[in-house]
Amino acid sequence: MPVAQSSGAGIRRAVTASACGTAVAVLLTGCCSSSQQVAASSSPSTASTSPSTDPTAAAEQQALAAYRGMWAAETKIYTSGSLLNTDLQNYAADKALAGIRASEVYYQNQNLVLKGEPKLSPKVTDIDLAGKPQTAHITSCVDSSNFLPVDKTTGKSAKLASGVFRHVETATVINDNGKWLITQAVIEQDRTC
Amino acid sequence: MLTTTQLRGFVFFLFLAAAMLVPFTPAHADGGSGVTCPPNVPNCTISVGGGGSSGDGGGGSTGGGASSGNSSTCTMHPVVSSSETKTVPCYRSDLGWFNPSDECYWQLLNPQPKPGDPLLIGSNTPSNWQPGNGAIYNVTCTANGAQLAGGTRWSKNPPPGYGGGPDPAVLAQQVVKQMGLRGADVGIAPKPGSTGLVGLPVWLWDRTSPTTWGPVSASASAAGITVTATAKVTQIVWSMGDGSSVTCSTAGTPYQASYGNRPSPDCGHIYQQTSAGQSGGVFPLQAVSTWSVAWTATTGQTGTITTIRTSNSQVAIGQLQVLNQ
Repeated sequence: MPVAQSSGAGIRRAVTASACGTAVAVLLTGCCSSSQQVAASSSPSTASTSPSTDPTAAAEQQALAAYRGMWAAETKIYTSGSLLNTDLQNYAADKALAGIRASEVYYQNQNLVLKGEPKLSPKVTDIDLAGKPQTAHITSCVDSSNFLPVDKTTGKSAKLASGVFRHVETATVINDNGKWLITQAVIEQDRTC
Repeated sequence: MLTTTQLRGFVFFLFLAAAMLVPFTPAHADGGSGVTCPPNVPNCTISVGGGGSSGDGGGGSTGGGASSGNSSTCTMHPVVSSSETKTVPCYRSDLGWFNPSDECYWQLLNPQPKPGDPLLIGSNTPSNWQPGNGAIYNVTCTANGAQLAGGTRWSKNPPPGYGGGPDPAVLAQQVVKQMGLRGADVGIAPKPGSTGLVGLPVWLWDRTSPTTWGPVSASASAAGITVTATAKVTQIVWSMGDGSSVTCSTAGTPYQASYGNRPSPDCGHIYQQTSAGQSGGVFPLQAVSTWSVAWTATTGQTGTITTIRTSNSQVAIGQLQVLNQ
């Protein structure tokens, strides 16, 4: 799995809930900006990996699963240098899909592929189950220090615009007839984390 | 923005980062150098930011292995608001067909969403959209600075370039050429060679035929697309040579001697001065016909082309008193 922190969502949430108190947890989650909020809306049985019966917590898990699924597909695209044979559309649509495709073309135009995998720290910052469609927003920290572009032919590292490897990513997730899909995802080049 | 909780976590993280010698860069705009890159790139590279990438474009285009056997190339601006251009495949199996009008790739959503799908809410899809009313596409814009313009999009007709065929609008222009559209076959009373009178009605008409008034239809085909067009004149503007002009939405009524001195019911003029002072002693007459050509393509696209044709004639106008002498 190219996506870091692939432990069960329930466990991850349990860790997150105490994130501000323990060193290990903080490193895992990067920062704990919304950890309290996430914890507060989850069921008490946070140590269990079984799906929660709390609809909000369950929806949050599905939204986060869509985000992780998107990044698994995205990582495969960037490392293989191809947009073919991908299941990206199971997780990403609309502007997120267009943005990832355009990003891969950006790499292709420079004959670059990425090596390694990103470390991600997604958290649901808000979720609206009354909306039509149901919508959640995710804020993540994308750590690309082990996910860097190299020349596809020579393997030589590409010249980067900056030495910042941790960027905030914000994403919008909607419930598309039962399937949570990322419709917008932007890695914000001017926000580190 | 920062809550106390967030601040506490952040400060603690700072402490940990230092303690564990994790490299930490304070927040700053590393895009501040003017480098821009697509929204899902973790780290911008600098070889593309300046827009000097067209040299790499050739090599890069094979990198994805995405172009099909279709070798046709299209032209795009790799950096928005730059005049620099580069060639790209008109079709990519991963992105769809290049649309030269927005320089984005268009791909039919497969399967098409159902009416009311939440994905359509934020797009330009009509709220009452039903299958058969155009189609839903995934649009990917690859120009640097335009990537956020992509997304889910509805289009009533397949966009220009879609399917790799000729642009139906261009084909429609060829159909118009085939039609042999002409200006009015000018009929005028008083007829050329005779002299009309100041204050008496002049009748103007077009001797209608398919090529001077319509309707006329024609079609043309190329690469599996057929465009059928029907043309008709919507108006004729007559410049009378005395500074006035008459706009007629009909072809006019041919004059007959039995009409006497009656004015034309739909298209005529009354001169207030003689043509004696004009070059050759006649008013130059110009009839400008506006042709409206409605076309439909087998791709489902439709359009209208407006074109004009001009005919010339002349009319001599004298004074009644001259005849009375």
